[in-house]
Amino acid sequence: MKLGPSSVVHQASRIASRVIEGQAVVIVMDEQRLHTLNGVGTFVWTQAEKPVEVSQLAERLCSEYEVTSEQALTDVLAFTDELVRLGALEVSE
Amino acid sequence: MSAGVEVAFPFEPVSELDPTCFVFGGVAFEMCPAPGLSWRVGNEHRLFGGAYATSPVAGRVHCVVSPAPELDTGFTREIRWEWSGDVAHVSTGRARAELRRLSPGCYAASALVVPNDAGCSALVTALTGAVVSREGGLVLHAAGVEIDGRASLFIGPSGAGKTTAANHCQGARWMARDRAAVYPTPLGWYAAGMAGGDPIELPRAAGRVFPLGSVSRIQRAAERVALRVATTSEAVRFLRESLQTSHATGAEEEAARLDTILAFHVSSPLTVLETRLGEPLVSVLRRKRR
Repeated sequence: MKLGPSSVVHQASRIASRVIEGQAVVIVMDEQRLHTLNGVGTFVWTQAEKPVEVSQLAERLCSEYEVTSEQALTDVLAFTDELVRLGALEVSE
Repeated sequence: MSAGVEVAFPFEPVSELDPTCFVFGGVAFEMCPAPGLSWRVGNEHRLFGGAYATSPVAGRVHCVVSPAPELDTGFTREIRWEWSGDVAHVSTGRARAELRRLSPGCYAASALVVPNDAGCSALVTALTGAVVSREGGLVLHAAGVEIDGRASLFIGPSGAGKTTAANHCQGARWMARDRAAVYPTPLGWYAAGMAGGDPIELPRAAGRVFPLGSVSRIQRAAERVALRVATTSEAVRFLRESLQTSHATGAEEEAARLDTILAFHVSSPLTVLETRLGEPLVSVLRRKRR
């Protein structure tokens, strides 16, 4: 399923994560894979602790980093899509 | 002089050690086999078993064992344990146990085991994993040597050169070939070798449990031998990839494992050892300790 701006995402239940030195370390348990996110990725990841719309994530990114709203939405869509594919994020029904 | 009463001992003695009371992987076991069960762990486990109550351990397990031939599902490396409060259900291809934590470091277990060496060994390995992890320790895929009375462990993916690094520690003795448990004690972190692994061309260490000297992630280098402290995020990645874990894990247990790794790295920082084939390593590891 392709995500859109109104898609609602949240951290998956079968993950464990910690933020270490500004980088989120995320373990997707069913895959037994460990992912390290960069600073921007960590910002998005921590915002998705509770269900949130992708467009809201992009807005929050704009308020935190110098980036246009179009670019933020494009980047957040690609990033959340990737995390959903990896099993780290889930899409709320 | 007392009357000559003959006592039948139903267990097959395997060594100078009492086969039912021993230390393996930093856990002290007192096994109580059901009458008639010939309690005997396999050769590899005997090699890594030590005398009971001679070293700091992660925990003590009193375990009642009954035979269950029907459990034999063949060889598997899969070990499962799942904690629910202070009770864990532990299983492998050849054994099952209910493990109860009575107090910190003190456990009671009731186990069913395929009545042969492999079954007994599988049970001991599985209980060790469950206890070490519960007591804030880690079971690592590692080769290890004893240098000056301390354990230096090498971790890394298969083929990274763990055994090769151990072989380049001339003058040292090997204490782990494939796996080692590391665990906190009031005297600091300790390490204990566990069964398995390829031969190491060094003499074997006399002891089984040692104060932890270092854990180093092996990386091949073309130029020189160097040792540096890993960053925290490197340490988490490297230690987590080398961790031997239960195949059944809840999110809370996985998060607790990350916290254990962080606690370990704070008190005993992981190092990255860049090695070159043929370079001696003992002096580098000794320098790190100073």
